[in-house]
Amino acid sequence: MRGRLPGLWLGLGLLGLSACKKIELSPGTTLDDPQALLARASMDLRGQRPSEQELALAVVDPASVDDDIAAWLDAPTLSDRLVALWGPIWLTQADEYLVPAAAFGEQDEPAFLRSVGQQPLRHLARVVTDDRPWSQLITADWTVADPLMARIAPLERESDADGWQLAWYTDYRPALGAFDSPGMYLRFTSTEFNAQRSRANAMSRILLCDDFLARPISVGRGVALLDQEAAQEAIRTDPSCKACHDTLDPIAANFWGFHQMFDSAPREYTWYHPEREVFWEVWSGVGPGFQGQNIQGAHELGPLVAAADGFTSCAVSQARQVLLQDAVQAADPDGTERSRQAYDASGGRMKAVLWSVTQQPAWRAVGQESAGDAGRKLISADLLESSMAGLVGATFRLDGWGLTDNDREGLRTLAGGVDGRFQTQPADRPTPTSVLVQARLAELVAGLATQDDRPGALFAADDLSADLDTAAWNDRDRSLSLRVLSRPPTEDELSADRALYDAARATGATPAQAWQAVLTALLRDPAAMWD
Amino acid sequence: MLTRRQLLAAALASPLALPALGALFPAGGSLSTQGGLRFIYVLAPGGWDTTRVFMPQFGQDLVDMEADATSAQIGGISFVDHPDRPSVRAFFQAWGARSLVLNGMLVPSVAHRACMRLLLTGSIADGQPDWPALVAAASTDWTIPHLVLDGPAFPGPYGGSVVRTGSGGQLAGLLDGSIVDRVTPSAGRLSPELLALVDQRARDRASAALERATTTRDQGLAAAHADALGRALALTSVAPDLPWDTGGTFDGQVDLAVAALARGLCRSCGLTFATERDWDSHYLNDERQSPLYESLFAGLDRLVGLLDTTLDPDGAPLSQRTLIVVLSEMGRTPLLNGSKGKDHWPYTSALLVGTGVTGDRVVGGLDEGSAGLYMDPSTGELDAKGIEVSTVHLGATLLTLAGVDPSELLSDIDPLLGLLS
Repeated sequence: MRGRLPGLWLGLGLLGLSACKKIELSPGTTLDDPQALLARASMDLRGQRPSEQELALAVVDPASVDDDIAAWLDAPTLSDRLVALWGPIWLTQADEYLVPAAAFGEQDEPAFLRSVGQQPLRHLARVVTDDRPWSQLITADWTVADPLMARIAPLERESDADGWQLAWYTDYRPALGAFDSPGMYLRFTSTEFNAQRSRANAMSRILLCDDFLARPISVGRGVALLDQEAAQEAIRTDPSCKACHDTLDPIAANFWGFHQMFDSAPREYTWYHPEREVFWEVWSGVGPGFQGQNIQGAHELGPLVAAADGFTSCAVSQARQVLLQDAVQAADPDGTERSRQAYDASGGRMKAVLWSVTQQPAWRAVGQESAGDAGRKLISADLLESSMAGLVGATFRLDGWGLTDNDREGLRTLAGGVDGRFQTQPADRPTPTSVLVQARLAELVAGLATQDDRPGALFAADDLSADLDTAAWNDRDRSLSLRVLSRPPTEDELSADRALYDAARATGATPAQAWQAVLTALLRDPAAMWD
Repeated sequence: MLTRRQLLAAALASPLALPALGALFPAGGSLSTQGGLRFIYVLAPGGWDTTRVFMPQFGQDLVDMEADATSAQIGGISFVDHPDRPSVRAFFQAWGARSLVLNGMLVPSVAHRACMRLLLTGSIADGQPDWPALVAAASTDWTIPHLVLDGPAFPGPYGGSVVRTGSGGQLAGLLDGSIVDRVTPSAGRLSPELLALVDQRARDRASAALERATTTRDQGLAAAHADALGRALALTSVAPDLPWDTGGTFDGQVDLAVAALARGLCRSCGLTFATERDWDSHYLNDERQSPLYESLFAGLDRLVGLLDTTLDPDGAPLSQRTLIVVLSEMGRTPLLNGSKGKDHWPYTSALLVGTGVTGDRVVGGLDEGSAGLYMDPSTGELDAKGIEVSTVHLGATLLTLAGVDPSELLSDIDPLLGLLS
């Protein structure tokens, strides 16, 4: 990670916006040009399109893109991105949990769902942003909490400030990092009969990339599922059951302290119950363990998981998955090995792995045929919203709910997102409804950008009050294209945008309304949905 | 890639690319005249008690039947009749000739979520697409291959082919733009006249992106966007004619599903009758299940009647091309528990009504221990040397009915060809 070129920054800063416009930027679509690489970095790591100044600097000094990547990996904005990137893997952000907000005396259901669903992911984000070892996902004796989590769980926060703060549980639960989070157990539930297996599988799937539920299951006719004794006997002796249960059940036995028994008591869901740790004796007959090693209980589990075969490769695989695509990582063993080396050399730090991925052709060669299945990526639902809303500094709410973080009132799956329960894979191509979401977001953003009292960064006040001369109009259109698509318009696009403006004016629209139309159409460009 | 690009370029130049949202098709027009069987899936989540309608297990020591219930027969349909459920009898009287009851289908779990996945996907793994999604993925000519009005759906990797209307009416709000007015902060919207100009420019941008794309990946994304935009505009054009507000009722879902099928908007619809909380009768089984069955069959009666009287885009009654698939993810224990309820049981029934299956027929069954009886899949007749029918066999059968080869998706699973007409 090299240092920035302060002189160039200063020079561009003094030159200002108008100077940047004079730099010839390529309207090309390949990412061997640095502006496209910068756009990918900016979207992936901070959820926003780059500014005109940043794009201009990338053209003048292509190496500065790596400075930006390094800076964004250290920036506070990375936290939100990590939550968004790992959300579809952890699947904790659901539209309902075992109990609603009201069970805890909370009135704000959207806020409750956000906090509960995000807490494990915020722990992950803190591990990365603090550059702590990835193993602290399962070994940390600390966590993070926002004010709502501190109200509903036995948590002591580092400070009373808003947002996610370092926090510690006060009920002496074992140190299991993010797997101490109430959200894990409100989302991944268990009955006595299930004997915590669903929770053990969630941990295995998330940290070891080993999903027991993905294995073929064959239940013999002779297995009486409703006869508990017979079922337990089959689990211990039937080869079709034993293969999985011999591995899964000892892990599951570690989670009985999180077991809920009484529906009506809020403490059931967010407090640890040490007296229930021994329930395995009744419900599965299999004691705590991990990969063939018997242990005393959950307080010994974390280090074993972190040292397990599969933990490191899973971490590396996930880092590549969130920044690339599944097909790419499978087809790029060299890149995977380089990421693995970065993990090992850094002492298991995810930030080093993310940096290593950004330095590899599979991520950098966006738009180049040689990249094969790599290349441009469809952006996620949350990124579609944040990249557009960021243009006008807005945070959209829909009757109190987020716009793309839920499906209760929001547009998450319609926009191609993951709901954590049914839709567990993000869309990998535009869909009719994601294009509709893009269109409505475009309307919202263009409407705000052209408000008289909200000139913002996209328009100068003079742009909207009267028709501009041709040169100034073209400059403004170029500027909009850079902000929205991270590239200048082609001459054809410039002409077509102007034709739209003129057609709008011919209907009696004001200059502001005509620009609103031009910007709405620009935001609906296919390239606004990929990086 | 050239063929794909040409196709999509043609699509953009087609009637789907007419200038204005909401004016793409003449009033009363239709979106498509695709062939193949249509499906309406009706889910009763929570686990129905098959002994209250589908399985007349009278006279068995290990089965608690209702005191006032009797075994009944209408044509080839044997069922459980009860004075509190006249709609069941009325349904089979009216539509028994088109109805096939599949009994004794194994769902190898007793947990609701696992059973739901097993019922609809044949697997409990995350990411596995359900039967409607698999059919939808092969139905690319439809604007919305599968429309989910309510209830669970597992699109897997085929999210682009499966669209939910949204629990809060989100799709309707997206289509007519009213959702913009509910968002804060927001500003004034463009007039319809200006939005029409914007639509045209959006289409031009999609075309230009397709032409400009130089790499395989870019071409794929640009083509997919152009395709999605065409579908979105087509969808928007028919939106005002559809009864999107279901009022949270089954009848409302039926009205929307039939209207969507009639307009050629979708190939299949997913509906839900009541909730898991309603059907999951661990206490007072009969007080809860009986009225649910009564309402369900009244609703199904209305649905079949509407399909008979509503024409598809080709002018044929929808019922001639539609199969209704009524499912619940589990059955209930044969015996009542101490709370007069019934717990979870891994054998359930399915009711198939309409085109594609042999009606007036009950297949499968339960033995004295209420385990599924074996069946010859080629005939549908009971056969001790046959197979134990489970959810994957139903899935393979539905895929076959849809024209999708199940052997590529479900190896070594025989479709129940003996059930097909």
